[in-house]
Amino acid sequence: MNSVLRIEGLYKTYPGSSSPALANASMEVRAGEVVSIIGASGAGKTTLMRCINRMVEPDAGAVFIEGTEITQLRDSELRNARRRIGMVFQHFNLVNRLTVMQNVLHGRLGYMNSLDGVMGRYSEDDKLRALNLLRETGLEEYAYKRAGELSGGQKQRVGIVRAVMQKPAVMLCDEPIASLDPANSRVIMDLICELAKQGNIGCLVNLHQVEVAMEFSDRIIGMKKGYIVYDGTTSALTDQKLEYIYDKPMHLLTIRSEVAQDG
Amino acid sequence: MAKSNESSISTGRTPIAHPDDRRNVLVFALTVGILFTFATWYTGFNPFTSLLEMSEFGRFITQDFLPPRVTNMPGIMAAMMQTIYLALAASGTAMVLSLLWSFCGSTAVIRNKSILTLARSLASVIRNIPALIWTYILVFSFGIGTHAGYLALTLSSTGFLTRSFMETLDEVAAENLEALRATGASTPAVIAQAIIPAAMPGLVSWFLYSVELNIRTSTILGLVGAGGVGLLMMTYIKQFNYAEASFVIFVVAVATIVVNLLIDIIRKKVLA
Repeated sequence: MNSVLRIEGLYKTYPGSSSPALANASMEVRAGEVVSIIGASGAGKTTLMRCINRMVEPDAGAVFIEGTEITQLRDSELRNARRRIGMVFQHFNLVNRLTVMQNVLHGRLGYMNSLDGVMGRYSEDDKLRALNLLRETGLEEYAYKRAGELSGGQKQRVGIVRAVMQKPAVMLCDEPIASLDPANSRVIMDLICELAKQGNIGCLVNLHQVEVAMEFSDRIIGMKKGYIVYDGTTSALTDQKLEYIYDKPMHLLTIRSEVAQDG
Repeated sequence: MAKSNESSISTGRTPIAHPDDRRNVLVFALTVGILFTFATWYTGFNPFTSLLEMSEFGRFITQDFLPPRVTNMPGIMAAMMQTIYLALAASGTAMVLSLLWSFCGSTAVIRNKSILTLARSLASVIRNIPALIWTYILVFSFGIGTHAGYLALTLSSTGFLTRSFMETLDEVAAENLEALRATGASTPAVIAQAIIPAAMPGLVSWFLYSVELNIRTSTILGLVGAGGVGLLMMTYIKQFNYAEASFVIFVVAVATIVVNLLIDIIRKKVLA
């Protein structure tokens, strides 16, 4: 399979910080593949993700989206590249006062000219597709409710549908279940995996819970102090390697994951 | 554990906050006391004198101002409405100008540091010149009347609303901005589809507050020649017609309360 996302030697150091947030990071994600990134807080997971769509500008290195290098692209080319990268957020980042439909259709703004975008003139095809996706995700009855009225799990489903509306090649999910209870977390992870396979989307998911990463990923990337220290299958991720990634003995890590399971 | 026992033995009580907190309150109270004493000494103002002279004040109110007298009801009502319309017109104009201006000063929209600084500091300057001063300046150029009043109110509320709008925009911007930027949406689309809808409650709320404020301010501006009910009241006072002036004050109070109640209702309906 082709890699839809490839990064090479990515570096990022935030101003005023002595240690790099991201150092010499290289990896790739293939179409339809779900790859989880695990690591302690501050290991650089979020920075890695935001460097890929340049919400954070990397200091050095290259990012290839479907073979196109995007770190040197200027404004409008960058916007075009971003259309192929969907993003899902921990805090959902919906416009709470707008309807679910309006929020979902935001995923199409990158494909419209500015005037249509400003006026919110979405094409009939886009609207029907939005309704279809909402139906598939069990949100059809909420289509014309304000996003702010939804529960956390429902909001995250809207966030995912918004990303899928972009017809992305790559989907970046930044802690998508960190604000959700275990039952909703399961629904969301299932949905991400299902949509990844269905749309042949390469998914990169930041996760705090090792157990969840083990269960839902095709592959796992471990980060520590800005470096990628593990990149391999779930089965090859031994306790010893986990201890190294988190710099903590296994019994501390298991307590953490038991809590995550029971919730 | 041992440590907390020790400290509770030594003071007899278990502290629930840092001891410095209590000391800071004391220092603050002392500072205010000292400043008050200094200020009254410096200005020669004695708060007790004004208490003693209360009877003179009371005599003025009861003998000169009360009971209110009405001879020119239609005139007073017309002037009151003029003041309210003045406030509405100025707030409306200021709303449009401030919205455009606040985008120039919002970090969410403009990346250029010097444009941001310019927009923000200009708004601060205009806001910090009181409407009263604007009226004085404008009455010189435009003469006594509502024209000067309208411009003065528009200027001062544009400054005020711009600052408030900038803060509102900055607050809502971060999350929504990130989400829409990430989809590849253009800046105008992001503003129209995310920032404005998300900021709407804040914008409407500030606008309504500015209407409230302007009704009170436009009364005062009338006193210095900006037309409306304030001008009428000043005319009565200059004619020593205090009884009629007191009726005008009564009308202003009632009108302000009524408008505030209406605005409260609008606020509840719109911002629900």
